[in-house]
Amino acid sequence: MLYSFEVQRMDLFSSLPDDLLCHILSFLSTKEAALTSVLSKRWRYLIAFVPYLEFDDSVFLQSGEGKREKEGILQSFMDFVDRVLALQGDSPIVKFSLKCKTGVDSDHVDRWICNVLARGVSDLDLFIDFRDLYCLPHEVGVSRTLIELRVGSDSDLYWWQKDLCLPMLKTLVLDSCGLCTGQFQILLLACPALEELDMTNTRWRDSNVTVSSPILKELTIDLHGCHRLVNLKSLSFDAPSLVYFYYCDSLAEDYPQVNLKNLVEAQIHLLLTQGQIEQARALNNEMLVDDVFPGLGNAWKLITGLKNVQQLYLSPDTLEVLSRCCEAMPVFNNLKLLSIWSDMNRGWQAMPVLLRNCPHLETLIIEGLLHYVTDKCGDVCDCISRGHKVHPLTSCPVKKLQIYEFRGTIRELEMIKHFLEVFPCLKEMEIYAHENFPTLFKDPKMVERVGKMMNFYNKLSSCSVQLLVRGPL
Amino acid sequence: MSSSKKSSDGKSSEIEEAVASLTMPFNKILLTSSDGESFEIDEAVARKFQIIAHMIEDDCAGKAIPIDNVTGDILSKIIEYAKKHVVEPDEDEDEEAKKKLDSWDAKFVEKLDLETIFKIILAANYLNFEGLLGFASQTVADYIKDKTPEEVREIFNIENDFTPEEEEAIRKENAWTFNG
Repeated sequence: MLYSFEVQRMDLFSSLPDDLLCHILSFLSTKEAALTSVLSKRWRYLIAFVPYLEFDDSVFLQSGEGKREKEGILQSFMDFVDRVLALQGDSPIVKFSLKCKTGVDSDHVDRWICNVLARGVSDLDLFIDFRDLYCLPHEVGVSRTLIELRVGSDSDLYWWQKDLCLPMLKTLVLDSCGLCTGQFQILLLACPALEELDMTNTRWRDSNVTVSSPILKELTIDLHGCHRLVNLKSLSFDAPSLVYFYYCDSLAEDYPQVNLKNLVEAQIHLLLTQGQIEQARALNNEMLVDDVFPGLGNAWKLITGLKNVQQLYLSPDTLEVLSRCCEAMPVFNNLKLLSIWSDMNRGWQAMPVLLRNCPHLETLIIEGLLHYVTDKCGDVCDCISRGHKVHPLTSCPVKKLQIYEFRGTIRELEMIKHFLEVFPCLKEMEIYAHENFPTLFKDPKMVERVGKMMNFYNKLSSCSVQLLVRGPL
Repeated sequence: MSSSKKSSDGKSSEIEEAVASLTMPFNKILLTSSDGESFEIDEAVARKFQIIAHMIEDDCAGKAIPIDNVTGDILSKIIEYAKKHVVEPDEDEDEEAKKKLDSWDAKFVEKLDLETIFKIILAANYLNFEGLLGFASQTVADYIKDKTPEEVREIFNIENDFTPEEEEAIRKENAWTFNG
């Protein structure tokens, strides 16, 4: 009789203790980790000891209405969360993330949140979108263990209480939350350890807002490209430790205080209506700037407060606003990188003064060369040809120029040639093709034109000019 | 880490260490595996292992440190990874460097069989080398992800010791994950 001896391969996991198994499970989503409970008896209850939980009720739902109401699916989701939390008992938990929408019962949600808070969770990430007004449980506002808190919704979310107190909170991210009068002030005082504050789509009830914090390091105010119905009357900053500031919002009427003396990076994406842009452009010398629309006359206070930054990113609307602040433009002594993004409907009137006021600028980034033609571009570009010799911006120390969204138009090619003459210290120029370039590239005339110019550029100056495509062609 | 020497070759390893301390160049540390293989590495690399970093802080690291629980073949792989990761590039500051390192990591782990990865997990845990422990654990997690329980059992040789009734009960308890 022939025996074939099959050597039994050993269960690989038998060499690992339970805590390392749980560590591996923490790299899976909670749903995937729960699937392992059926592998063998050893795995059945391991999920009880995984300190990172994330639940997303949409995981099995396809887009479209019908599926959300699929028989029992939401009940089954709620049962699952209940069960995992019950299994976990009192064991410590580090991170809890929950995404759920209408259909999941709000009492269940309250219970789950209170459960993890009671167990000392330090990282809480909630995205709760109930069509009815939903208020987070009171316990969220008085946790002594929360270090990171993210709260978001597609509709309004409220959670404010008078006794708000989060002594360990370092990071707070609010998305689409409503703030009642006076609550922003309470928030800052209630979070004495806050280092990072990110507010997207915030609706203020206050007319005057002050961001005052001795230790805040990162601040984001982001209206996501929408316009406010009513602009803030005043926005002040007293944040001497702030290092990063992202500001995408309608222009406030006034900026009484802008103490941001240690700011390193500022992204200023002001949002103006077309009406406001036209009013600003229509200004002639006699009209006082303040009469135009509230805020235009005070914008210089904001830009002056940013004078110590090392990296500055400006949107097209911001450039238009700055065109009215040219006289009050500060000198940016520390600015090494300036990035501007252009729009066909917005002008470069502020560019000459900006470049003149950056004595140590090393890198200039331009996203989109084409802009609204005015006669105020100075020597930076020749929108309107003056027909005389180009004067280099002799004091401009820019060594590197990066151009994005290049489409190969004649206008752009001329602007690039002009830059080579205007920037005396330029050593490197990188031109990144617009993502539609592969289609544009099929036009042989354009290819020939661009090719010729590239050769010409590299002969014209000692600057190296490269045409690059980001990503696969 | 045990500070007492193995009795069988206690004497010779003590002498070895003493000699190493005298002849070792400054800022280099000698690690010896459980099977006697020696590796000379920079202090900066050795500090990636928290267990050694603490010894250095507490001033009780000699220049030669025995790593009793880890064999030479595994220790050499761990040191190879540690050397590459002495400085972790910042995602925002240096995208290029981060991409290159990720690519190296992927190639590093591709060459390893599962058994070796498990040994690395144990060793990285013992040495308290968080970066490699996380990376290796993620690698194993990736083998589990998107697979049916049957497939996972096959890959790792896990014996299914449930009765069909027990298995059915578990699937019911966790209905949301199994059925959707």
